[in-house]
Amino acid sequence: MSFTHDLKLPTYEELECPVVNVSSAALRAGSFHLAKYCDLQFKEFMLCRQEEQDPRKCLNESKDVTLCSIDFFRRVRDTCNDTFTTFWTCLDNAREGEMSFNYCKQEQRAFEQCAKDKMNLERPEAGYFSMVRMHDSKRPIPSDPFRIGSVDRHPPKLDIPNPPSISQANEYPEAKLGMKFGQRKPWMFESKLWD
Amino acid sequence: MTGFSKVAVYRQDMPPRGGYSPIPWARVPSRRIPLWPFVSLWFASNIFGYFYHMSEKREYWRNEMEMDESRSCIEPVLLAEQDRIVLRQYRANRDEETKLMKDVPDWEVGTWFGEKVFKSRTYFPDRPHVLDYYGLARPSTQRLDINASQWQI
Repeated sequence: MSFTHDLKLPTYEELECPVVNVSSAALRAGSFHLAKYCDLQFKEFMLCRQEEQDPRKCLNESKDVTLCSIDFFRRVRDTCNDTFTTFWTCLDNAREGEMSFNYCKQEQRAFEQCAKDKMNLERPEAGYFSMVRMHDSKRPIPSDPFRIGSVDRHPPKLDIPNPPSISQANEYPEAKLGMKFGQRKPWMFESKLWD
Repeated sequence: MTGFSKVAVYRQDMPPRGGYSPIPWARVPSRRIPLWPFVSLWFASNIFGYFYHMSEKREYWRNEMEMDESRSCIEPVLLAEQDRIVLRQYRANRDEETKLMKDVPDWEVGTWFGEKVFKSRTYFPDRPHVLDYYGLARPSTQRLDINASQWQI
């Protein structure tokens, strides 16, 4: 309503794209593996969104995101349908409509096992998605439309390997906080959960 | 001696034979239950409860973080679809406005009698304003959308 005709809006044909036809419980069920599978497209889209601050300029990236997620759910349907269905129906019927994971741990483990065996997709460790993740893309850095100062990209300085997965957690007992000195101070509570 | 031939017989109030029994003058404390079992139980439950509570807290925050992470994993999918829907709505609103205000003299579409809303030529909002989105819709649309956004399908 507040857009004049000299402002360029994309046409209906440009905005055509298939829709991720999946309910919210199934989205939550497959969220971790989806973010691992479509990591590149997600990062590109979020970077574009943050830099340009303009949804018109990120249409291609958004289409990549949607197509990749549709591809992921198609793959899940082809290989791991049963475990996935039990998992998301369990989440759907969870107590109080919360869709929280701690009532469906068994089904979650079954689905993760199936994803590891058949789709070769391992879920990253527990704190991975809370951390700041850096991304550098081939798209040119946009100009500074809001005069922020500098729209720098910070590519990752080191070649960071893949994060350890949950199955490897037991192999690194010294990584657990508080274990370094063999529980010398049992009365001290470590407020950090992961390092 | 005169008048002492008859002696009055009376009984004197004397202590009993063997004397009185001893008077209990020592303190008699009340019947009480010991305090140490309760204190030790309380102390032990404090210590045990501290560690148990800390582990439960850790588990609770682990679950909370899992929920937050799943939400932020899903965010790009929803944002992408939302962007396209919003842009489609903008275009539909602009076309509708041109149709409506075709015969109003001196009306530039998107302005308020010539006064532009977005003064800068390079700015485009990344989040829609309520009026931009629902401006030309019937009032029930917003209520239906609120309902749809709160009810998880």
